[in-house]
Amino acid sequence: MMARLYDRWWSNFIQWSIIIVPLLFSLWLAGWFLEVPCPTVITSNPTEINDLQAELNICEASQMVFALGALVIGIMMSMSFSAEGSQAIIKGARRLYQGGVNASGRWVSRQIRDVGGSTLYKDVTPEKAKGVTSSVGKPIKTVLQLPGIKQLVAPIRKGYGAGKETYQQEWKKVKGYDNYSPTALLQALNYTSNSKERAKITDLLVNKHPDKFNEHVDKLKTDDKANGTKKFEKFAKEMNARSITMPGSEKSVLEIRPDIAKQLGKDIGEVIAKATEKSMRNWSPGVLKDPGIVDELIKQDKFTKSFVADIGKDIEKTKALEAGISAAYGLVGGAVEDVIKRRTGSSFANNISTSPNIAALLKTARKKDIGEEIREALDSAKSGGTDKDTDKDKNKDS
Amino acid sequence: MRGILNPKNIFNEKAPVARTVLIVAVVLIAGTLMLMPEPANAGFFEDVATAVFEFFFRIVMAFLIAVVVILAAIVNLLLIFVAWIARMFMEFFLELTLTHTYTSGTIFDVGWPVMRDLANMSLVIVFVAIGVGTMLNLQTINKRMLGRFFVVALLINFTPIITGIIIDLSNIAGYVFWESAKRSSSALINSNPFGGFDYLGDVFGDIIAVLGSIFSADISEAIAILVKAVVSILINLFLIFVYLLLSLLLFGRTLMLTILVILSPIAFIGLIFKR
Repeated sequence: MMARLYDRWWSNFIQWSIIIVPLLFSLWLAGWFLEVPCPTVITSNPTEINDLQAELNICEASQMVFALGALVIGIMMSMSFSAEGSQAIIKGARRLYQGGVNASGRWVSRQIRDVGGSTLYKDVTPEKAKGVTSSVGKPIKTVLQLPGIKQLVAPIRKGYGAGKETYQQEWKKVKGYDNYSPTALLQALNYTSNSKERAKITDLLVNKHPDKFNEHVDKLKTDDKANGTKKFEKFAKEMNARSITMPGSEKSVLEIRPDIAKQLGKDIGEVIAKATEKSMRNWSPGVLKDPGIVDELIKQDKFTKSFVADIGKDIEKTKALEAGISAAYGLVGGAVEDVIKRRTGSSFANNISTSPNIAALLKTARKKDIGEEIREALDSAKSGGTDKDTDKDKNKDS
Repeated sequence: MRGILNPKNIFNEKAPVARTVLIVAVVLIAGTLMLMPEPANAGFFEDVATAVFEFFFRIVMAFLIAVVVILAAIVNLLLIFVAWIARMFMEFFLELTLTHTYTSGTIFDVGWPVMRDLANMSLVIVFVAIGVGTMLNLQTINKRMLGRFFVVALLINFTPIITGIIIDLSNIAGYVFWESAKRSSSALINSNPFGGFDYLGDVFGDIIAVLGSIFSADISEAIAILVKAVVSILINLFLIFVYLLLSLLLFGRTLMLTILVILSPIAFIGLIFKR
C-alpha cells in the first residue's frame, strides 16, 4: 500500500509539473495563428471596400478559429500527453531507481558479508521457464517457417533478430561483479533476480571459481535429497530458460555441469563429446556419480591417462567415479589395483585401494568398449604388466 | 358482383349508367382545363397583393433580425466582459503557477515540517518492523530494505530541494513560451473580429443596416449580419470556455504542487517498500 502511495504521489507530481509546458506551447501556437497578416483596406471604391471587408472578416474569423482550435487541441493533448509523458518519465525513473536499489543492495550485502552474515540470505532463484510460453510460441514458430510466409517476414525477423541478438549479448556487458570474491558472487546470485546479472554472475563463477560453483550446485542437490526441496530443478530450469533468452550464456555452465544436460533437452552424448579434458577436470564429484555420464565417458574413450590421474588425486572424485561405475554396470568381484597403480599413477591407485571392487567394475566396463587407456591397463594386468608402456610408467612413477 | 369477384367475368359485368356519365364528365372537365390557354399577365389585384405581402414579410423579417442582432449584441457585450474576466484569471493563474514559491512560504512552513516529523516518526516504526521482519524471516519486510531505509531517511529531509528542482525545471521550460503565451491570450480577445470592443461600434451600424433593409428589396445583408451575430456568440462562448479551462488547469497545478510538495516526506516513506 505504501509503495502504491509513493507511485501515485510521484505520478501526480510529475504530471502536474510538466503540464505547463504543452499548455503554454498551445497558447504560443494560438498566438502564432493570430499573427498571420490579413488584407488591409486601401481603396476608396465602395464595391472594392465591401469585397475587401468581407475578405478581412473571413480572414480574421479563420485566424480565430485556427487559434482556438490549436488552443483546444493543445489543452486536450497536454492533458493526455502529460499523463503519458509522466508514465514514460516514471518508467525511466523506475529503471534508474532499480539500478540504484541494486547498487545499494550489493553494498548492503557486502557489509553483511563482511560481518559474517553470509548464511542469512535465502535462495531466491526465480522461476523463468513457463510451459505456456512454449505452447503458444511453437505454433507461431511453425507458421512462420512455412514457405512464402518465411520470405515475407524475413526482413522483419532480420530487424527483430538484430535487436534480439543485441539483447541476448547484453548479459556480457554487466559490470560491477568482476572483482567479487567467490563468496560475494554466490551471495549476489542469491540476492539478485535480474536475469542478465544472474547470467553474468554464473559465468564468472564457472570460469573463475569452478570449485565454488560446483560446491553450490552440489549443495542444491544435497538439499533436495535431504529436505525434499527442488532447488536443483529450479537451477536447471533457469539454465534452460537462459539457453532460450540468452543463448550461449549456459554453455560454460553445461561444460562444467553436464548433469543438467537432460533438463536442458540436450543429448548427453553430444555434451560429453564436446567436453574437453580441461573442462572435465573442473567437474565436481557429483557429476562423476552420474551413471549416464560415466557410461558416455567410457564409450567415448574420454578416460585418458592424465584425466584418470587427475581424478585419482581427489578422493571425493574417485569415490564418486566408483559410485558412478557401480551404478552404471553393477558390482562384480576382482582386483586390478596394482595395474592401475602402475598404469595411471600412484595417487589414483592409493585412492582406489579403498575401493576393492574397482577392478571388477573396470573389468565389466571393458566389455562395453571402455577407454583405450583403461583397456591397455587391463590388458597389461592380464599379461603381468610387462609391456613397454608399463615399464615407462614405472619409470615415471619411480 | 359475382362477375367482378371472378377475374374471368370482370369484363362481362354491365357498367351502371350513372357511373358512365361520371367518367365522361371527369374526362371532359380535365381535358378542358388542360387545353385552356394561360393568361399572359397577372392581374392588377394579384400584383398589389403580392407586393403588400412581400413588404410585410420584409418588415417582419427585418424586425426579427434587428431584434436578434440587438439581443446578440447585448449577449456579446456580456460575453466579452466574461471573456475579459476569464482572460484576467488565466493570466493571473499563469503568473501564479510560474512564480509561486512551492518550497517556501506560509503554507509550506506550516505543513511541511509537520509531515517531515510524521515521516521521521514513521521511520522508527518501519525500522522496528524491518527488525521484526528479519527475525521472523518475512518475505515482505526484511533486512534487504535497510539500504533503501537509510537512503529514504536521508532523502526525507531534502524533499523540498528534490521537488523544487523538478518544478523549477518544468517552469524554466514554461518560461520559454511565457511572454508569447501572455501576448496570445490578450490577442485572442483583441483580435476577435466578433468579440472585441470594436465590435460595439459595428453593432449599431449593423442595427441601422438591418432597419434600412426594411425598406429595401434585399434582405441578404440582414441575414449576413444575423449569421455574424450568432457566430460571434459561439466564438465568444468558446473563448470563455478555453480561458476558464486554462485557468482551472493552472490553478490546479499551483494547488496540487503545493499539496504534493508538503506531502512529499510521507510519500518518500513508500519508497522503502517499493520492490
